[in-house]
Amino acid sequence: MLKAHQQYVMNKPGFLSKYRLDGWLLLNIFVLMCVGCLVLYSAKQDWLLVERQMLRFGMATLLMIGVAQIPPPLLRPFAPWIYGFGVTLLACVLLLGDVSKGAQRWLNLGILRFQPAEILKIAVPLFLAHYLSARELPPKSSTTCIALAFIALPAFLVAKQPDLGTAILIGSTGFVTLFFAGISYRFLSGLLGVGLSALPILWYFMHDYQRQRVLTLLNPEADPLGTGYHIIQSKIAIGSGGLFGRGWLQGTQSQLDFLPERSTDFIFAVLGEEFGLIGVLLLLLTYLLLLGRGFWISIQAADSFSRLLAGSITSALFIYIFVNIGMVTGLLPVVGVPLPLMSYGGSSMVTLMTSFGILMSIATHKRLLPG
Amino acid sequence: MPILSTLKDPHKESKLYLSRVLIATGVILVGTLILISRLVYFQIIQHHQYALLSRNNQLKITPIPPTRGLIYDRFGEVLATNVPSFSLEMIRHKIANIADTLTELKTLITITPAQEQAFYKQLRYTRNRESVPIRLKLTELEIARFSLNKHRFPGIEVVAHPIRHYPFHALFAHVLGYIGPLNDQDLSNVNKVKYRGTRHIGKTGLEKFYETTLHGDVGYQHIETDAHGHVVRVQGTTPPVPGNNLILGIDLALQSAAFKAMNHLKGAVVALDPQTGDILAMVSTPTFDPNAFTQGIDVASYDALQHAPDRPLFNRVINGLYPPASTVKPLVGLQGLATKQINSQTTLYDPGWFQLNEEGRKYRDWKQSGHGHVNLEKALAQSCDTYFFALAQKLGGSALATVYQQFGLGQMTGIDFPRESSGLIPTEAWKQQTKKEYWYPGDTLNMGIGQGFMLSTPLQIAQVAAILANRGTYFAPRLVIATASPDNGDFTATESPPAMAINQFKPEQWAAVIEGMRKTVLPGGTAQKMGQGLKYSVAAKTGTAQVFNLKTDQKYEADKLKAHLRDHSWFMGFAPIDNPKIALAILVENKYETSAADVARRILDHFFSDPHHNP
Repeated sequence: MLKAHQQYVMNKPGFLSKYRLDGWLLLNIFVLMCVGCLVLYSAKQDWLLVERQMLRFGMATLLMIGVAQIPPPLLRPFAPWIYGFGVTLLACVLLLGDVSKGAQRWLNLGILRFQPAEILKIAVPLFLAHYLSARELPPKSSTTCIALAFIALPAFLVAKQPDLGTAILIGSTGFVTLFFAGISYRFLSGLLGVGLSALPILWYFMHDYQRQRVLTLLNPEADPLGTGYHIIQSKIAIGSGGLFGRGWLQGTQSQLDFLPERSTDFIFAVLGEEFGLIGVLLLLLTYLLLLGRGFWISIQAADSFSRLLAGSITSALFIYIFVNIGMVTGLLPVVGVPLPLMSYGGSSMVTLMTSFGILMSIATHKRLLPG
Repeated sequence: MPILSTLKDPHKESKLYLSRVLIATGVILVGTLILISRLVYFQIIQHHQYALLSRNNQLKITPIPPTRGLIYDRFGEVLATNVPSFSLEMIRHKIANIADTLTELKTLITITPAQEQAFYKQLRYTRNRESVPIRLKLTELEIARFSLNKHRFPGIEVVAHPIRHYPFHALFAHVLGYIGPLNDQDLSNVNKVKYRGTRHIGKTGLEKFYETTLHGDVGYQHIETDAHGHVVRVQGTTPPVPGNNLILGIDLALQSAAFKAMNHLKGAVVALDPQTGDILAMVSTPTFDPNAFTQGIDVASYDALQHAPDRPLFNRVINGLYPPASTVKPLVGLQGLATKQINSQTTLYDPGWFQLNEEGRKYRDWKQSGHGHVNLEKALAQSCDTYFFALAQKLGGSALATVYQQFGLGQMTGIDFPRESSGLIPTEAWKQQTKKEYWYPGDTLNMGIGQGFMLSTPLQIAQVAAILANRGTYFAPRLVIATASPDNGDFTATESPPAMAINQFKPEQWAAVIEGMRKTVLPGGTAQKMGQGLKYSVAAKTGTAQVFNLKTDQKYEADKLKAHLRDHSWFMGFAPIDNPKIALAILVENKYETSAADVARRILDHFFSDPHHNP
């Protein structure tokens, strides 16, 4: 173990490098955490909630630092095991999971209740990066087909829970890995075509509440007190924020309880209402810096595996951001995707910080000599 | 891995990856631009619209219902008031499972199946954020019990509402009427805006007739609320305009005396001030307690009242239709004098019957042995049918109809009360049309003694008494003499009805008829018993309205008849004769022992012993 470790050197000696941390990532994460707590307090005006979130941040940060210490080659052999473990858990959830809000997503492990689907958000790109980078790049058609099956299996299991949103996220993350692996554009457009033509079939298999959400997206005013309420209220919150926002703790939509789920999935609307377009643009800028750093790390990565993994993880982060903000602004159906580092909640934070840990590990464990 | 690595070209792979990252970056930038354009659209372009929506979201206008006006008698006694009542209410959208909540509530508070049913019914018509009453009229014990457990029932509240209270219960039921819960049908008849927040409306009686006066005008509270309708702060209030108070011409003491005099009797009493038309007392018995209706009466109780054989809900004063019987004889006499068919001395021999011609049918007098020689005075005092049969024959049916109409029979009096009945004066044309029969001479005779098809209400007969009292001048009867503003107590007398007059009779003709009526209460008169020891002068006319027709040779024996087939007893009169202060009409249904005249005596005795009326 030690020997393997010493194959790598630090590019710049210093405090951060010593602990295998990336300053740029860390700075952005820290800024987002602070803004997150600020907005979270405004959303609920409950210090206890903010304290719990800070505690989670602290623990998740420790987890991130821990993950950052694992060199990618050491992680790589575990990829198939993590993937297999995740898929097994998903199967277990379907058989014995807790039913919460009409969907089986949680697995109760006594003290810990978590969503196995979260594991797959990392396990799928990790395993695919492992699988693809071990083969010829760009991948051959047969490799691509097998990879697609590896993506489809967990996506299908998650969709069965039913959690279509997460299933699509997992599926698209795997797809991004394939894209970075260099899958041909012909194949890519073929896949897109198949995907689009599968939409009516998907509609057929959807649950009523899922269909309702899609219909609501098309016309939220049709059911203003039911499913359309979320979207209408969040649009009002964001729109009334204007350029400069109404000020911290001053948003009536948020403060007077009109905005539902405002500490979790709809926290972006609170930000939009109280900090306006300026605040929202600054948030997007911070995210873009984070993404940019992620891609930079991936380009600098030591090998194909690290490269694919870093690229996929970074892209996944954007997908979450885009889906969440798209959902809150009525661009996409309400699928229950939290806003990274802002929404209140533990499961997704663990996944995110693990991802950042992996990114940092890739950034700081580089071979002295290429090859 | 080592085997495959020989096939791999790291440089090529990294180049390929770089190109893909560039594309991905492009996609991300495009995605971000889409989001930004969406945000710019909401926050800059549509900002004003959303700001307005946000403002509307938090601002609500809630109606404040006005306080209903009170009702007083002429001396300031409160006849209808508002008292606080506590009800248990549910704010619907805060309750997850309505049925479970009700089940749990039942462990603390009695909720009958009927109340539960009423609750669910109202729930259907109620908007999400408004509250629906579950139980009305909570007792103090129930309020205390619920308060201790309030934390278990978010969304359930004890609410205080003013409710209508009639302190004299049944005494004024047929005057005031009652209010009841506002329903869809009521709403379609009123200005919906003014009734926002109002839960009750006048259903019958004065409560209905003076609904607009009593109701007042809705006020508004502009409040800032959170998403659950909780008040965050009140931004402004437009106070409601309370309804005006009503002051009735009725005298509580006289009303009570009349009610007491009618104890156990079925019938009606109306007392008027002939000089103004003000109604001093108005009693219809049997009656009911209007307080049972104010919060909505349950079906069983309502059915019981509705189908009771004595018909307690029926207002006999306004809607009771009875043959006026002998009470119309003074009018026939007047018409006889005016048309010179008779003079005050014209005498006729009464053998006990009247015949149209020698062989004709015998129209029997009520007194089988006959009244002997009778002039107008005696005919009135003894209510001689034969005399009026003869006079009616001379006058003819249409002349009778005309004089009856002049005295207000067969038409509504115009009292300030809803759904007044008009009664009936039969005419040839009417009989042709409705009965498909010719007008027989016998019909004219019957009309002359107020029988046959004639129908009138006690109120109409009271008006006849008032017209006689005033020797022709009269006013439409009215219940409400003034309205008063609840703010400053300023009275506004309701416009006095214009005086009307019957002009074709000469003073001596009035005097002759009234003399006959005076003698009615003297020894020999039909109301001699009532007239014993009178301390004031009374002019009166009694009447007996047949419920069924006796066969020609059948004798009327009240004690052998079933109660509901017994004759009705009338009393119509005024006092004192020279300066009349009170005109009366009394009807006792199915008279057995106490006659209408007996009731009249008690009422008049009270009236003339009351210092209010005898300054």
